[in-house]
Amino acid sequence: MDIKFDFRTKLLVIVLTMSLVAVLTSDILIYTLLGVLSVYLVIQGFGRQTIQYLLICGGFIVLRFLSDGQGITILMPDMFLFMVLRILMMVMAAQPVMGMPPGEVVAVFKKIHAPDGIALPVTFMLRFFPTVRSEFSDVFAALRLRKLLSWKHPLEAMEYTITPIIFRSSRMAEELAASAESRGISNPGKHTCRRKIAFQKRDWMMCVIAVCVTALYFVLERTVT
Amino acid sequence: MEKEKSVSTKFSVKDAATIGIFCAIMFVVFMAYSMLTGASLFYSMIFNAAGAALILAPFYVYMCMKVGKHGPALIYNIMWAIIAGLMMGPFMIPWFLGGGIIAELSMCGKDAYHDIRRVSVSWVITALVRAAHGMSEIWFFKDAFLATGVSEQQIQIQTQYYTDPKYVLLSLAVTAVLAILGCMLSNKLIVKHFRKSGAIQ
Repeated sequence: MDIKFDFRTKLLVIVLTMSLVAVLTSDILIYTLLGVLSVYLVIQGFGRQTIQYLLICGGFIVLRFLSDGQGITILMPDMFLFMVLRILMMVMAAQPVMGMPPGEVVAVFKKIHAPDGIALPVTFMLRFFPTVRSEFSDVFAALRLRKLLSWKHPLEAMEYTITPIIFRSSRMAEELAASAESRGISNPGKHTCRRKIAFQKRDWMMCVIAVCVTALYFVLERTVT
Repeated sequence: MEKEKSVSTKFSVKDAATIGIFCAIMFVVFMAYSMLTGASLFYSMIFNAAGAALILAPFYVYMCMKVGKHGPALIYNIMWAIIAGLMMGPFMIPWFLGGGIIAELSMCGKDAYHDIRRVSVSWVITALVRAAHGMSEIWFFKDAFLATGVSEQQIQIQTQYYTDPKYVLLSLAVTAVLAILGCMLSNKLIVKHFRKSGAIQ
């Protein structure tokens, strides 16, 4: 299954998840919310990522059960387990947005008249997120090859890591900006997008379902606690 | 001539790309660092922001100097406000937004973004806002924080540390010192590598 939702629908799901994550106290409701988010991801074609998230969350849920609210020794306090689970739920809700094509993000921001000062950095940030890890792993691989990574010289290791990362990222910023400029990102006229940016029937359905599920969780939270 | 001047002071797509990409790097580095150190409750409560102020300083300083115009301090903090709002709860948004406005106001004046001392001041403010966000949960947003379902044990520990002036001062002082140290090291990197290569004017 590979249903594509509009950016605004995905944004609504993030906001609703944020409100639920901030309010839910019952463990059972948090775990069922994980299931709901998994369905939301799977229908959009993020099956592999969903399995990864569920495995990690499963590990932390087991640790929470074992700790019984006391944490696993001083090395893994309950707060750590609690925060990681909630952060993972937010990451799950944000996954469809992180994988969006930049052109679509720009088109949506233009459509909702978002200020360029925020919209453009957010667009580039979303575009760059998936590659940050590979940027670092490339640099680390090169440093390991030259035996330059050492805990004995932390400042030097920091310099050897940070300098190439900054150089590479800065160059990438210039390339992305040039690419965006050549496609007319700063053109003051009306922008068009190859992809259809429209709030369709499925978006309305998803929004209604998301709002209803959120309302249901709020009611259940009051009932359970 | 006038047109050239107005173009050079305007926020360009390249500036937006630089800010966006460096915000993404700083966020990922911070998350990785917090995951590694978060296992120790004491460290994550007292020294997490201090370590982050040191590690993230080179990226922040480079971002500010590369852009060289007003805005990066505010936009960086707005990004953090959005992320903190999503991760910790919406009550955190005004805290980081306020910090961003103060950090940007500290950069008032011409060429402030090319002056390492001014950039350091804005970084210290940003780092202190991050260091104090846990305290703000207890001081100002306790009800909202309690509503997030945080455990009683966590509230007790957090209240114990964040209402004790000794720990509050320790956390904020170490954060300020490491933020300044981070900016000093960053300036050395800027002079040694980036200015020499022409990446920064």
